[in-house]
Amino acid sequence: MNFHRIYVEKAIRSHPRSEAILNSSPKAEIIECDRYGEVFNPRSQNFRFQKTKPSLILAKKQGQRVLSTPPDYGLGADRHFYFSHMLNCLYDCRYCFLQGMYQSANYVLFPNYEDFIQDIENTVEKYSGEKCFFFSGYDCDSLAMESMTEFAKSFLPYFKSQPRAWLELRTKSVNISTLLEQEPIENVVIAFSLNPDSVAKSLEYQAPPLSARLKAMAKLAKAGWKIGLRIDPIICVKDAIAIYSEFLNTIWESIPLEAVHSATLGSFRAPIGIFKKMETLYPEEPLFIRGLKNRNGMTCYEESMESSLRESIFDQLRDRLPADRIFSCQ
Amino acid sequence: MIFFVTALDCEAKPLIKAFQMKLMGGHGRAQFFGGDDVALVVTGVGSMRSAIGTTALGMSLASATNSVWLNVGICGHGKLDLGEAVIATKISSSTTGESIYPQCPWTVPWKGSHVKTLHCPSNEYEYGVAFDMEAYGFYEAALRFSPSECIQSIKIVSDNQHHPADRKFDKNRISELIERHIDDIVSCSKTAAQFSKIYKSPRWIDAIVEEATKNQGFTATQRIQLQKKLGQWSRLSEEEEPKTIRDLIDNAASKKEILSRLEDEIQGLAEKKLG
Repeated sequence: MNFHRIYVEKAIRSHPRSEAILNSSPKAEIIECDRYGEVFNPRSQNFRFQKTKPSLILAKKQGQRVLSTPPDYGLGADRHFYFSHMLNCLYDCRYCFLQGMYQSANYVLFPNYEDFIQDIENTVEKYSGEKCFFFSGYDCDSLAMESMTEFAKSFLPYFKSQPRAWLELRTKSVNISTLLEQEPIENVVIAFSLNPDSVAKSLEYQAPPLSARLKAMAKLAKAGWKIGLRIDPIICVKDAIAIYSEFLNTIWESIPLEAVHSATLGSFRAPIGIFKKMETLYPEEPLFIRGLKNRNGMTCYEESMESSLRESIFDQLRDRLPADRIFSCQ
Repeated sequence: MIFFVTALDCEAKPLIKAFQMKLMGGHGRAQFFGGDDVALVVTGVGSMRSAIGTTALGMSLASATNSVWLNVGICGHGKLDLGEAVIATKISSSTTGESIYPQCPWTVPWKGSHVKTLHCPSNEYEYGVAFDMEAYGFYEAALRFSPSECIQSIKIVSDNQHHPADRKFDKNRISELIERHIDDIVSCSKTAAQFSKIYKSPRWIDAIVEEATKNQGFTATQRIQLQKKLGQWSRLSEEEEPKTIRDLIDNAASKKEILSRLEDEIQGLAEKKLG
């Protein structure tokens, strides 16, 4: 990847992963800082402007690296956690909460993976005897920048050695060579975020088209990897029920059901404050205008608008998958 | 709109000429110049004066919000040759020790440099660092009006360790140094202005809001709602002439009906656009 500017915290500059990234970006201007927050957090930044040409920030992840997920975000394990080796995403999905959550669209990469792995290991030890699920891809796409970050390449060996710790790599990327180069790992799920082609085209800018994602899923399934279907968020477009129905049929035609580890269905939702920022950034965006309401501190679709679509998708998932493999996020 | 901030007359001269600006007033010792969608302030030397001049110019024009702000001036540099130009990638204050990191998401023809804003002139050059006396004050003040991406500080090297600064300014030489980069500065300012246009609403909206407030007696809250809805409508419809809106306002029986019919129009357009 070519960055025009790379900000680097002094504390992480000599880390081998930082050095490798800096050496592979000879044209980038290197700007040292004490703490990444000095660059990333100031309020007077415009996420939309920065998204046109983001810079990279290399920083040492301090403090808590592994966090519990909110109670409703699980996949049936005893404990669910998430961690973020990176903040911000290569893609530019208009519904994404990141654009309202962060002041900056610059990518922050935490190269101290060894500290993350140690924290994951400590968590697994703390809850010995319980099945722990670790989600990656909450604040970034897990695979989109693999060629630079080597994230999957670095983390998979740990999960291979620890069958009690499950990993979900959430992605829209078709960057799957790291996975195909090795044997599938029983406790690792490659979870693809999916939406019908027309929705992807109008809202998931820079992301691979649905057809490419389905091909990548099929290749991984064939190689023996477990696949997650993440239909999140569902978008209430015109004729949504018919569009989503056709979309689900395309999925069933693309991958064998036995490869599907789980399916989750999520509503469009954002905390009110975050939504307001998203709306201010993109005042012309129809998604932020049509049929939304504030409910329990969140901006989401009016119940009447969304419920029949949710039900329809749920029914079709139930027709194909056992109930204990279908989950809901609201 | 593009706003330039310089410390000295001689730094401003090539910009005033390039944009055909004319004197249009001032604030204290700061002098304002204006032209077609462009304004400039000559603030005087020093971070504080730069901050005051920037704020005064911004407060004097409603269009200052979300506009482009460029600080153009000379600097000393611990590495570069005389006449080279840099764009600030980090601006720190020698007084407070604090730093700002200007964001620049478009291509510029200049190298980036750390610019250190000093409170008094110095000939003690630091390798790779530019010295000036205004950038930090300018930047902090301009952040009140625009996001970081629209605010840049461009510095042209007037002295270095081989050619230390004279106590006395050679004004013609300074103008000449700026003049050498004027084409790039003009082009950069116009690119930046394209970005900031995203958030500018068409001028007819203000006129309609004024009319509606006067004729229909809109409250302050309703006025804000109308302004927001007209902005959404204009972006979704992409219509340049507000005839539809004028008809809608003329045919509505009440203020409430204007707002609800406008909302229906917006929802319809949004549905159509989203597919």
